[in-house]
Amino acid sequence: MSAERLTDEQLIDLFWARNEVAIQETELKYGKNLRYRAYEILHSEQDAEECVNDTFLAAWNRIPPERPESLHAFLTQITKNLSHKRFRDAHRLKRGGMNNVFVELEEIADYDEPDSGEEDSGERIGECISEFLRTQKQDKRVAFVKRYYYSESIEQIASELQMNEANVRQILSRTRKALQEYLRKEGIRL
Amino acid sequence: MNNREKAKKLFQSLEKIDPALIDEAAEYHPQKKLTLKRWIPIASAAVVLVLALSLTALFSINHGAMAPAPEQKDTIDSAEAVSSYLDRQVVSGYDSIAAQEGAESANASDDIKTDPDTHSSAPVDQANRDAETVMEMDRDGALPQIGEPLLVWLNEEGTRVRLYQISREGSRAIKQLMEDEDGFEPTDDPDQEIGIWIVDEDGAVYAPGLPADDSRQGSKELIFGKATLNQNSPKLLDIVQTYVH
Repeated sequence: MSAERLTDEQLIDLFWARNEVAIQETELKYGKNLRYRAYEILHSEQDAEECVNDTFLAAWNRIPPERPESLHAFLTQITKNLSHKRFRDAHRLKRGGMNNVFVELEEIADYDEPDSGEEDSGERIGECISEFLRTQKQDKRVAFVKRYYYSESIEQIASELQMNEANVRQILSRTRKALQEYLRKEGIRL
Repeated sequence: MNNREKAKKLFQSLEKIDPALIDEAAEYHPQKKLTLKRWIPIASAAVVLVLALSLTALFSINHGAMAPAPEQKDTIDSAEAVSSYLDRQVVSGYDSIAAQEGAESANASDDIKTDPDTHSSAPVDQANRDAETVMEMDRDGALPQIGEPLLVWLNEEGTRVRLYQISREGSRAIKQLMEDEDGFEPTDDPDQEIGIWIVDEDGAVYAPGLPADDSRQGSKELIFGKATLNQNSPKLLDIVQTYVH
């Protein structure tokens, strides 16, 4: 059966022709793999299934005008983004908890920025933060992303990283200070 | 822009970080720490392993304490040729175990070559004692290998034995010679005395002079009727050189 499946090029042609068979054939070819990718992040079959369906819808909306070189990579990236967003939404702290996150982020933002120049874009700041995080140890990096990207609680991070809460707080505090110093040196204007 | 607004911008910028970092955080599972609780089974297994290795080493040492092979003589007569050959082919451990039988055994062994007058033909009682000695060795684990005939060198006391494994072919050849009454003669000379012992597949030891068990017809085939053989026989020498291993 797999031998009869369409090539990526043929599938993209079907998307461009607005032929709904494109989604059925894409599901046959990549559905299982995408569900696995989503499940790795969400740990819920139902959420993973919904994520994959959203992936096909997103692909339908983006092709055309886009014409990805690798349909598989294109679909995988969409699935991952959607899964992360869903995971983030599910774990996001309530209002009080989020307030704590912003208070902590204010600590980072409280540094002397360059006097002149325009504010840096979100992409530039994101890129700078990525560079900084790559220099950090894995457990610190992961704790930081869990706290400030996924907005997880200290308690939850401590449980997932098998640390006590005091350790997590200390790690986050030191990482915030280090990031603040990094942004200052890079001349980032928020 | 106040700090709260900057913090919000920072939060939004975090959505733009490298997706690989986001994946990593989502899929990260720390390695389980080896707590004391987890160490207990590992430590227990290690202790058991060390004990097993120690016992194995001890066993090897006990069984590795072999008697050195007797020195080879430059000139030998026919009787010594068999003896010397057999000495070189000695089954490891038998001599040393037999030596533990006591000083009497050791002295008796020396007597074989130094005091021919002390010889007497092997009586049934003596053979029984010899058999018990061999079986004792068997129980100690030095063992004649089950199913392998043994060529036994014994003195008149029957307490000092040297055992040599011999193939079944060799045993049959000796038996055939005995049946032909060609080349084998009873001897009164202890230096020329040689016995054939057979260890059957059940591990029981048969010795010359011992009554054969009628229920072991197969094994009886390998039991010899004569208690003593003349080791000067050239044919026996040939057989020994061919079949002792």
